[in-house]
Amino acid sequence: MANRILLGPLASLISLLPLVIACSESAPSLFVDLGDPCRSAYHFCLDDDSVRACEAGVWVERDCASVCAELGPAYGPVGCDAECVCELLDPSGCTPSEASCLDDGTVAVCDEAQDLQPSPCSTVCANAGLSEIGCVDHEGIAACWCTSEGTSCEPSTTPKCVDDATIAVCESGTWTFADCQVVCGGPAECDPFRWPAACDC
Amino acid sequence: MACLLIACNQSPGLPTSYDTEHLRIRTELDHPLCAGDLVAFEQVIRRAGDDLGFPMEGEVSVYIWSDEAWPAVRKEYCRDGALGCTSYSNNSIYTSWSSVEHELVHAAVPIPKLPPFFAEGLADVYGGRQTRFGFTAPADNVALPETEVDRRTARHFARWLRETWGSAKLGELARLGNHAGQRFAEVYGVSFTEAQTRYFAEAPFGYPSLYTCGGAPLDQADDLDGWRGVVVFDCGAGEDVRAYGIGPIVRRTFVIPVAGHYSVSTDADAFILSRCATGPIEEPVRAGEFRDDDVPPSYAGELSEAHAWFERGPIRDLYFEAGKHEIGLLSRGYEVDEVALSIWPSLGPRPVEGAQ
Repeated sequence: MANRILLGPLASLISLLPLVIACSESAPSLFVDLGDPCRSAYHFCLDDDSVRACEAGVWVERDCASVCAELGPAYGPVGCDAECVCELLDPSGCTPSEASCLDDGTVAVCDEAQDLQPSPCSTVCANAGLSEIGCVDHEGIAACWCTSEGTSCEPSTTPKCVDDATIAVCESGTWTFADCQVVCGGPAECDPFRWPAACDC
Repeated sequence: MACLLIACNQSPGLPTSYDTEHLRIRTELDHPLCAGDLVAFEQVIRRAGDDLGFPMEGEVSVYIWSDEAWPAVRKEYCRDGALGCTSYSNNSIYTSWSSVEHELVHAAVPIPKLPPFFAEGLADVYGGRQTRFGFTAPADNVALPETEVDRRTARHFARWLRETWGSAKLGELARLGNHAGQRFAEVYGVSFTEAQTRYFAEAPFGYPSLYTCGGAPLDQADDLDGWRGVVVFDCGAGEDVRAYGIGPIVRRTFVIPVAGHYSVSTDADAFILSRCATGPIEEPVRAGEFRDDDVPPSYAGELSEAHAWFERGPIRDLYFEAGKHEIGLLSRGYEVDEVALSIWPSLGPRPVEGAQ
């Protein structure tokens, strides 16, 4: 669980500065002073507690307390390292906006106050007009996973591929998924280039 | 860059030739030029010429080397460090592959004494570069030699002038040549300093390429609630086929009506996807900001547009934001080939946001 936020790498930005500017006597001066014009998503440390930030097109000074406060009440400033470093006030708590699976059917999202707000996947999926599969942690991201299988469809809807092995057919107004190997009775794949899609037996 | 002092009267004996209406092209590349490249090159000079009021007269010789071969031959034709150069004295371009479009603009706007701040800015803009607000003032750059100009500011200021006052005035400014900086007010009705003040206050973070998302629309397929198409990779004849390294690329566009997961399937060897920028980019972008997106916005890149790359594989369920998108289908090898493409709303298992 990430509980420390360093607001951004600067190397890529610095690399964009024309090298010639640094080594020519007649080179134009860089916009680095407070009050200079800017368009930047990056901050730059002025000292341990403040940064130069681009706001309304102009470089202004911001204290890290206010910068971290924008992340929510769960964060506080602990210094400046390229940009303000904001840490969770309660490192043992959850990280705001991150989701986790409470159980197979419930996802919980960490709110700004580091409180977990649970939601049943049955509700999440129903709100999207889909059927519930459950809460899944896929590549470190927890979310409710849902499917169109079992949901309603227009009877005239043509079949579509679900994936390479599965075809969706609208039967009696309901999406029904079928394994192409079962449909064909042998090795088969769903062919999305056909019109309409069909199992390629 | 404009080529003034170097031995520009040489005619390199490059092995492969292509002719278009205005261009006599000779190349030393490890791939052919496709019909779409020739169309695109003509489009660049036509766009710059029409926009800025410089109708192309006569022909231009264009000598193109691969980016790998260029450093070894550069000094024979251009200044050290240049990616290409244009000689007005003998209507010739000597360039690496990466800088062809940029040099074509120099050739299309033949004002040798135009200050580099304007000349390079125009060439970048009409050569198809994205632009970003720079780190220096335009007024500090306008008298600088080419090697010292802040190109980021040069191209963004040129693009801002175009978007704010139109391309005709930009052409008028270019025609002032060496006096473009001093006589700026004759064209724009405000001094250069006043224009700069307005630029500082109003210019966006960035602009997309003038040529962004130029692919033809994919055919909608009502039975799919999506899009279906067949693409022919005929490098020699297909005017939508461009060279892309080891094989050709064909681009197509489509508009996602509602954000969500869509299935993408093609038998092309690879494909790239991006969400099209539709206007000025107001919000500054951080490097890597869209790294985790299935389909990044084209403006996630700096000079060139960003895209996600996918190798040939199974049906992919990808998350798309609503809006116009571009897909580029790629083939490995330049033999004539035909591939299919289908895109439709996903039906299978997918993550759903909404538990907030």
